[in-house]
Amino acid sequence: MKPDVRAQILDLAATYPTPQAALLSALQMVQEAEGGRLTTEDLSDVARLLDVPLGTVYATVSYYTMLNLEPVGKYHLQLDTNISAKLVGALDLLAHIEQALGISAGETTPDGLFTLSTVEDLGACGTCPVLQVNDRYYEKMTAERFDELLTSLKQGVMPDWKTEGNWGTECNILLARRGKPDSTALAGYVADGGYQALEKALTLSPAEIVQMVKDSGLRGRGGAGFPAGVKWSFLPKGSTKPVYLVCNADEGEPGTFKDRQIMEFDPHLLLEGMAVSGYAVGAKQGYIYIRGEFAWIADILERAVAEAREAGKLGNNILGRGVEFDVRVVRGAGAYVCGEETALIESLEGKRGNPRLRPPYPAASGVFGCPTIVNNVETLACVPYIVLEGAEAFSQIGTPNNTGPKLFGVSGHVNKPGVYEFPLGVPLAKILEAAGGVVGNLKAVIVGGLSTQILTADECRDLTMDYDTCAEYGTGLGSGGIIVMNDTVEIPEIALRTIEFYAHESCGQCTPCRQGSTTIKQMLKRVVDGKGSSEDLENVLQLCKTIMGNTLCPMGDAFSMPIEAMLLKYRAEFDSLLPDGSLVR
Amino acid sequence: MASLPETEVKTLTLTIDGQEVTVEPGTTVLEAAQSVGIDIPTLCHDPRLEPFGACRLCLVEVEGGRAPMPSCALKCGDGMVVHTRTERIMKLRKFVIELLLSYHPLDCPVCEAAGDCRLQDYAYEYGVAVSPWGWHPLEFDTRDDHPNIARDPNRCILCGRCVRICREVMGIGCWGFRSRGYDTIIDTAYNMPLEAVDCVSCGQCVSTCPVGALNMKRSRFGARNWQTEKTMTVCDYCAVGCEQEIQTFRGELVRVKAPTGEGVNAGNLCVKGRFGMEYVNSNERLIAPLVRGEDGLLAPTTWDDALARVAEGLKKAKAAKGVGVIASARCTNEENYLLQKLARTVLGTNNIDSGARYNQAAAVATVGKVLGYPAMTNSVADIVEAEVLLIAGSNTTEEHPVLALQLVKAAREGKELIVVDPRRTDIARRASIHLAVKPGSDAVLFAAMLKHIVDSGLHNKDFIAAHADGFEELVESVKAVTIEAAADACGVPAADIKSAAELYAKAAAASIFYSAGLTQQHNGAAAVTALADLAVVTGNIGRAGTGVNGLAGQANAQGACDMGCLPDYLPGYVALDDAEAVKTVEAVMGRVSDKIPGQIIGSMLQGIVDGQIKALYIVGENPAISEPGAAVVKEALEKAEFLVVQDIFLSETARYADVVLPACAITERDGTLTSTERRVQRVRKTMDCLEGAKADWEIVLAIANELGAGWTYTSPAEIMAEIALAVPTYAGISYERLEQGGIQWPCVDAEDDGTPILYTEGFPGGRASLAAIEVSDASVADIAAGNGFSLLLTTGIEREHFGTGTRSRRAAGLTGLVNEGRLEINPTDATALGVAPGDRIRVTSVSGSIEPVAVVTAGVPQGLVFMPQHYVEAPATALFPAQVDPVTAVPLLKAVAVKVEKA
Repeated sequence: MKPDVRAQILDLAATYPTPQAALLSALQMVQEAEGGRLTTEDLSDVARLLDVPLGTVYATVSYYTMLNLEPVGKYHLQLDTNISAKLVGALDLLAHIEQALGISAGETTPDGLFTLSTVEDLGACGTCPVLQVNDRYYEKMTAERFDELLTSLKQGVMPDWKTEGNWGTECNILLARRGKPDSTALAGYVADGGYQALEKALTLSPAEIVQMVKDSGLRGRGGAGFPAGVKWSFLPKGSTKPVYLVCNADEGEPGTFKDRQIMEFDPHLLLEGMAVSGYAVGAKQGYIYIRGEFAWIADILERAVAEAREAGKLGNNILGRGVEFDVRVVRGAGAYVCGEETALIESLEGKRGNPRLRPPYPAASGVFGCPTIVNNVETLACVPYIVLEGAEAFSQIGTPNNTGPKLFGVSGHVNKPGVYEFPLGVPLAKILEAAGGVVGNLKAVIVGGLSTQILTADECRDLTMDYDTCAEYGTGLGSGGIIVMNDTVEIPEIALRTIEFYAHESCGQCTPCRQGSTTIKQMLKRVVDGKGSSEDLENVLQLCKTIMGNTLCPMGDAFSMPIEAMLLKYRAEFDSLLPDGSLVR
Repeated sequence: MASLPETEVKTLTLTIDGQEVTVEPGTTVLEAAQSVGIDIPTLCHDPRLEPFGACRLCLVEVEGGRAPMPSCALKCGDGMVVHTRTERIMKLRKFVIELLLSYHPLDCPVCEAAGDCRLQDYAYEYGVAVSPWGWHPLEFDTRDDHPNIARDPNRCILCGRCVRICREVMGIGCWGFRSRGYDTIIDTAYNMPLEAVDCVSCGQCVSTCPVGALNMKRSRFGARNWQTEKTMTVCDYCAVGCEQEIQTFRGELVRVKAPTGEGVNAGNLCVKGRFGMEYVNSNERLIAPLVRGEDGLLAPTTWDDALARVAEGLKKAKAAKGVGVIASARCTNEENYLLQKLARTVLGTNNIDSGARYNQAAAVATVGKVLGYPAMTNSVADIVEAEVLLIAGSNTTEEHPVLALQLVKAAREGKELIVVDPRRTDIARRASIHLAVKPGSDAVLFAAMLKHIVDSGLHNKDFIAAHADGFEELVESVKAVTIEAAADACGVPAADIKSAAELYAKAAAASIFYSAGLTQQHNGAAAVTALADLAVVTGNIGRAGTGVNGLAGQANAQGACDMGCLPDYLPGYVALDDAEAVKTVEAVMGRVSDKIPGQIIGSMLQGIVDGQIKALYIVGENPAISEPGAAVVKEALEKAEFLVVQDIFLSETARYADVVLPACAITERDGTLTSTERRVQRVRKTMDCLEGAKADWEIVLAIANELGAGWTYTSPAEIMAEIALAVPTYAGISYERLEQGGIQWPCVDAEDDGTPILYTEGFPGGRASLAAIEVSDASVADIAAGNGFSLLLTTGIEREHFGTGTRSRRAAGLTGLVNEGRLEINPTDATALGVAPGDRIRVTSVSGSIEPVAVVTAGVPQGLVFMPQHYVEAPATALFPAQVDPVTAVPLLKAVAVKVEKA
């Protein structure tokens, strides 16, 4: 191991209560320094350095898709083939790339220059197809753009292409600064009135802020929609342990790409939200756990943290008021489950991202066994507005019990896929209109990310987008990731692709999820391949019903609910794939 | 006495399947259900582990709850209404089993676990023959490279119990989940052989595997679980006192298990306990008495002939006042009691000593003097209560592996461990402070710690005033000590000494552990006494998580001492000059003709050389290898006019004997052993006595009667009844009571449940007697001899073997792991001497020379080499002169100057 990497790892480890917490970061540093792959020796070195058994290090590495035990080419091309990408031609692009490189996905070119992999959702649904090359995203890819990219890579140059996604805002709260030049800099943020909420917050008591957030009606934007202020109030009173505030930036739900808009274009909004929230909950340390693929966004955040610290907006004496709160950015390493808060906590501690049994809930025992609040990026980004403008002003936005602005990511068959900020309760039709309207004839919409139940065109015609209405419609607002499908889409294929994703991401810990997801996958594959039977379809339904509510974490629900909905609502399409005569009903 | 505040004992009452259950707070629903006989299936649960909740078999429905909850993790709540067999739950259980059977190999006919497999049980109970979703067996390679453990990942149900027991309980982490989702497999790093990944071969992973994915290779195809006879007994290696379930089939031992929740070990065993009992099946067992013929060779004879010769030989020596008896710290209390009775009341001598001399006997003149009882003060169970644990001269994870699990757990929970050991042992690696003292300087260290505590005012003045004498004298004795000088003498930083002292003194509860690393060391008595002083001065005694805990070496070292196998004490530690007490013992045992203390083992051997001792009767000990001063020992054993050795094997000592008496193994006889925590426990006959051999107590009885004693004992139970009369601390102990489990002495009458923690209500003598700390600097300096003997050798115990290897070296489950004497040497020293790993080397001291194999490791500091004591081909003891601690008479086997060269 290179001495500077070694020193960096030791420095990092010393900042955590347990050295193992530095494990993921350490492995990433070593992998980066050693040409994209971790050798036996690397693992042993890291194990010794952090006093973690080699077996545990190996088990951890094998869990995360971004840590490589096998050699990869100089350029690791990773093409997102998840549903949003598939809807806009990612598979055609894959065929093109395979042909251009003369290899299939999973292979490396003989000259060791290129490894091609297909990967799951990269959080770029509005700008897909997206190709990740090493740590860099190339969005809105086409065959032509790929050829251009390839030429450049062959010359040893990774071009610095900027991709502007579509966006729009009606609320001007979360995306208010989206279009400004150099929107990530502190100076601009302050010039636009930034960090005034923090100023104000420090004149209030933490309890007053908690009350404001409760009064504002702010519901968690990660997907569950749990009232944020209520979550905060679950922290144990009188505990002597430190409190941690964790920002969940592991945006990985297929169809979702909204948190990155805040982090990428207005990082100080998030940091201010965290500083205020940290003060409110009594935390001195905050972590932003960002999905590993968002490397450049992590860099943006780190620069912002450094600037904020320099300016006294973070650190051990915030605004000279003796308040202590600092933020560290921690990158994940490729695992969807880490978006679940207890899995995220495990991952933060340097472990496999296996969800924990609850109770205890993180508020009682989270990171390092200490009281922990985990909030989504968008949730935290709403906090400055609430503090500055008041709970009342916030709750005026949206509808009762569904207050505030919401980011909606629209992908799939629309003319202007992108992120749009509307008050909660906005009609779905209005969002689709903002997104340039549907391409072709609308067939179905998944309104809240892939884990929510699909709605047919008829069902969603009058839908308004808020937590309660979506629930009434038998689906969920979820993360607000809207996947639009026109009538060229075959639902059985979507169902298969859905379960393939969840089977790939199951942590494997509990029996129903691990075995159930793969069993469903096998049966749907048979059906899509034209070799299935009606018994298979019945079995899938049966499996979904039995799995629902019975897995260790919400993952079981996340696939059994949408699969069941697709099968129930589009049964005829599935039946039509069955070989003649096998339909015995 | 001030009235105590009424403490409210809160309990919770809940309803499970209509049945009301009252439990302590913190009880899980699974435990509550089990307590009333409601069976909830689980695959991933083991009471030794943290709840995992992943198999989803133990889900239950709670009224008012949204989704089913895993009962293994769900804590009981007052008024909770739980249903364990609703339609939904029953369907779910079946579903989980169906999912598992969809890939399980279904090779039950050849699976080692068949009949002892939870998946098989549940598949049967829930009527799942095949999975409705087809059968897709896995195709992983099986691994068979470990000598004792076979693994078949295809049978694995991914419950993770092996992963968790290795990490949570053992504190190691050989196993891990590899990959994720459906591709998950449990594996070592890079699928390496277990032996390459820190595996200590404890087999704990095998013990917790609910299916046949991990199994005991050595008993494979031996016998089905249901074919074996099962008997609960106690392990006869170290003195932790682990309960074992011995499984026999057709008269042979096939398997050793430990039911979870039973005994001090709660289901855990170490490598020896699990894989080391095969020696009882050895074809080297003695099956007939042997006598030395005219030709000088040992030849089989009849028991009648052998006993007659023994009686004659002993009678002759008795007449010359030249008999010595060496009892065994491996034999039962009953056998040891009879042996000392034979010596004292039949042979008329106090020349009775035992293997406890090598360590445990030290307690008599040290902690026994300061506190009252020469024994471990506290229990294994209350180790968890300690905030700080001071561990000195104990390589605990290798010497007392199952007790060490509590120390490992403490370290994992963030408790502070202070380890005093020249070597960087496994437990030292887990410590907050490792004081790698120079050999022999421990007493200096403790004196300095004591001085620092008193100087800093951290001593417990109230406790001392109320409970201890001699504080001023103690302070006076350490007056001249300075931390800096001590740091220099010990070779450790002064700051570490201070931190250790402060940590220990400031803790709400701090406990001390020590073992042979102190007692066999120069200044050992002073060091142990100082530890007892430290505990009293800081008030760390008489409460949970405190105390001075000397860890006994051999399984019944404590019992052998309790039974009076000491040259200066009768049973119950009655000093020979305490006329009143002696009379009480005599009233039970018979007249003790000699009131002058006898000789220890070493002196008896020297006595033979000097001509005073004519005959020696050795039971189950192997001084030919275990005693220092090889030349004297050899001469003595050769010169003895009459030597009787009683053993299960023809030990190195037995080869010198005139008569060899074949004894039964521990699995073939009844009796009791007293563990290191003073727990008197039953060993039980699990198989018939090997034909030709006899139980030790029967042999002693026969010899006594041959000598005209007229003893009438018909069973060990009867002997225990006599012990209860003779030894007040055993007064309440009987075989009948022991059927309910072991009892920790003192147990003064039939109503007394025993004493887990000593001195909770004060000291037996009224007050503790703090002892001045006297360190003789000279002895430390002596060790470094010079003259080309530039290295210091220390000895100890290896995880895989025990004693002189008489038993462990005859267990293939152990010899398959390690089977040769290895000298550990620091890389720098090795390089300087041109020694490479694996080289055969010659180690020479002024006393002798041995030829072990070199292991190069930074675990020993520069200048120190380490050699285990178990190898007759390379006996480390041969390098030591015959020297004992002047106070405790324990042989000094921890530091000798040597030179090392390539052989």
